[in-house]
Amino acid sequence: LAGKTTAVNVAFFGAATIQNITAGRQQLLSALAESDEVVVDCGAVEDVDVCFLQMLVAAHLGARQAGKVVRLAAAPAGRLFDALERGGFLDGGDAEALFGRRKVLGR
Amino acid sequence: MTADPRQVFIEEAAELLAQLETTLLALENSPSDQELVATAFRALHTIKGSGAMFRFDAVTAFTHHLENAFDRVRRGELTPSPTLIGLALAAKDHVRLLIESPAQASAGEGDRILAGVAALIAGDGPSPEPAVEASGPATWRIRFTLGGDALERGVNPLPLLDELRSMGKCTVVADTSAVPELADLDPYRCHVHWDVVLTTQQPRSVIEDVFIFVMDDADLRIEEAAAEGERLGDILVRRGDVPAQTIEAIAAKQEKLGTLLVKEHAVPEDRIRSALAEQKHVREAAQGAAAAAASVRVPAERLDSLMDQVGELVIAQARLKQVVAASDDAQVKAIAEEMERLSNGLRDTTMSIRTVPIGTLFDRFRRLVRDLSRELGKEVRLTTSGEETELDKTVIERLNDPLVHIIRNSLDHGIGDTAQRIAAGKPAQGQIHLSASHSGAQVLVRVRDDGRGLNVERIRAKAEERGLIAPGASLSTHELYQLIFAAGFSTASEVTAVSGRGVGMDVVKRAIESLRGSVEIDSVPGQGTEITLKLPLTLAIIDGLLVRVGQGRYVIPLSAVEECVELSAEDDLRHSGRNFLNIRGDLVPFIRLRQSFRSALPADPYQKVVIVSAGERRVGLVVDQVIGDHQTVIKSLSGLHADVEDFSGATILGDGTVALILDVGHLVLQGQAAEPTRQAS
Repeated sequence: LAGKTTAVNVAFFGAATIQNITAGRQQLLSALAESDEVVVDCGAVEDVDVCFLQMLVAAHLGARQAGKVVRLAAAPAGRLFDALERGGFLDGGDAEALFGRRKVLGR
Repeated sequence: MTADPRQVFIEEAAELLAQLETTLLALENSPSDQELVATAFRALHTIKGSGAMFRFDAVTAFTHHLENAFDRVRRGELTPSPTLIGLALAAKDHVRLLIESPAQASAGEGDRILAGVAALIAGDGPSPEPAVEASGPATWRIRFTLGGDALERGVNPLPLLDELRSMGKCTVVADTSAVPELADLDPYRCHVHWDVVLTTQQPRSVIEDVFIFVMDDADLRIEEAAAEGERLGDILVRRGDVPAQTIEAIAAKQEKLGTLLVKEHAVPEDRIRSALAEQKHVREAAQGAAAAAASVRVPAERLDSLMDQVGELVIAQARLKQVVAASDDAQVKAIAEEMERLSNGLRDTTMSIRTVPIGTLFDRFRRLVRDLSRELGKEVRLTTSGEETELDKTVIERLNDPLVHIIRNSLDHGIGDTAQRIAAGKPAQGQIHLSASHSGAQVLVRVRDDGRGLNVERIRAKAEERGLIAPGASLSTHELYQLIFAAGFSTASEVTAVSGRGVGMDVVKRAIESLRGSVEIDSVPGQGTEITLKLPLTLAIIDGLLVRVGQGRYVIPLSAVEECVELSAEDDLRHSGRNFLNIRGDLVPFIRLRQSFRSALPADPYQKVVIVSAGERRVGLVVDQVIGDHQTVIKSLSGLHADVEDFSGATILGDGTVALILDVGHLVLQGQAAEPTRQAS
């Protein structure tokens, strides 16, 4: 599974919710097949739900098992941070590894 | 297919609104009851919160103001005056429209209600002594896992968590350990579960209310964290630091406290046993209470489908029984008997699942009585008893309209106005009592008022005027009462908005008879009237008496059967032309079913007469043979047979043939019409 070393960016915008979840999952799967490092940019998302957060956790987990990396382009902010905080995703487990408080530099 | 979550909200909000109405009406009578205030507040709070979750924004915005008002009532800053109760009742109706048919909800009405509430709040200053919280805060451990398809059904867990946070100090942790890797992820299913620690003044019921709309599919555990702290072993196990088995194995090496105490002669052994028994009892009671509290909401159509399938099973079982009866195979017989036991158990359980307490129906009439009595300028109090009596849900649904008619009649015609009541030496406030009770395989629902009672002379005059009876006809009081069930019959001298148009009691009778029930009236002039509805426990399966007439087999509902007597050939000859029997001094008319069904075969030498009753009337049905009791799964007759009057349905017998179910009510009327009952001389 030796992929390319160049990071692939996946940008989400608008509604990062269950309505668009299949397309989002496909984007992440393609990016992970293409590269060892995937950078997720959520700067333009306007709505975030638990489905989307769960998908990011799954992507992070899948990448780690394959010796790859999925990381956020920037510390969670705005709508993403709100959803993470309200959903209790900032503490504990894989969610913390991806979004954890220590990575949050500001809102 | 999973239920539409918005539809689930609509159904559950309807229940909450009904509960709100009951609570408000009770609060009107007991304005100082803090429990009622808390219940009303909780209902409003839940409707608001869940409305937001399912995007009923107008409901949320409107209910918010009302919730605020009741929060003030809760805190002792606002009085639950009749004006506030009246506004809250109107608000409840408005919210119902906003949820069920928003197009019909008038913004003007909503504004009027909110302006009224605002005026009350402005005029009712804060009370000098704010209410004191009844108890200190408690800490709860909440773990919830949503149903796998909850997200797909539109459930959003974030507002649930927000609501928990609004109750007090709250720590929320999403447990993502069950989330699979991306390639294996079904993105529409929820793999996350949540652990919440909440310290709040609110009781457990308020925490449970947060989950009310997701509870059916969710796995929810709410445990109060022990105030005195957990035992060391429990904390270690809970944290996953050591398996429970290890703790148990090590603890087993220790001697039990009881053994040590006995050994040291500190406590006698019997006292230890007694204390252990108490401990066991309390533990089992707690487990039992937890089990009793568990309930599941199931769509009504699934229950109907289950009942249909159980009906088919009962029929198949009857066929199996018949086939096995002819077999000598002991093993097959044993299996058939086991199957019978199981299918009977399943039938009883299914029927009990379909029953609901009649109290849910009674509650609806409190508002009716309140509003109508005000409209008519009368003081009337509705009291109820036997609310816990359970009836088939279909029967309960179809009882609403008949009971509305009866209660309206009682209010309008039965109970006089205050001046009339005082003149008659009665309390100014009239009373309508609604009760339910079991009586064998039937449920009796009674509506009793303490009004004027039925005016027999007026009924007679009206019936003669309308040509229902011949002038001067000799009729018993009971028969005269029955005339009020004639279509269009009304003795009311004036037509009011409430009743008096003669539409009602005939509708009541038809509705109750369509449920295989009957209506009886009892009245004492000047003291009041009591109307009794006799209803079957269930509409789906009945105990029947299987009889043969000629070659055909028929089922008579066992609840209507009083006794069976023999009709010998000599008796038959002696009775020819006089179709009535002397049953212990009473002359009971009988119908020869062979003639009614035009059977060409010769009659059995020893025919039987099955005496059946409907209300106070009896009639004998002459049959060739009484075969025995039969579990009867009722199948409706097709539209083609809608005009067949002697039968109320059909059933399938063990050998696969069809037997018709006799319509006892109709046959009794037919028999009575042919041979009026007379006292034997």
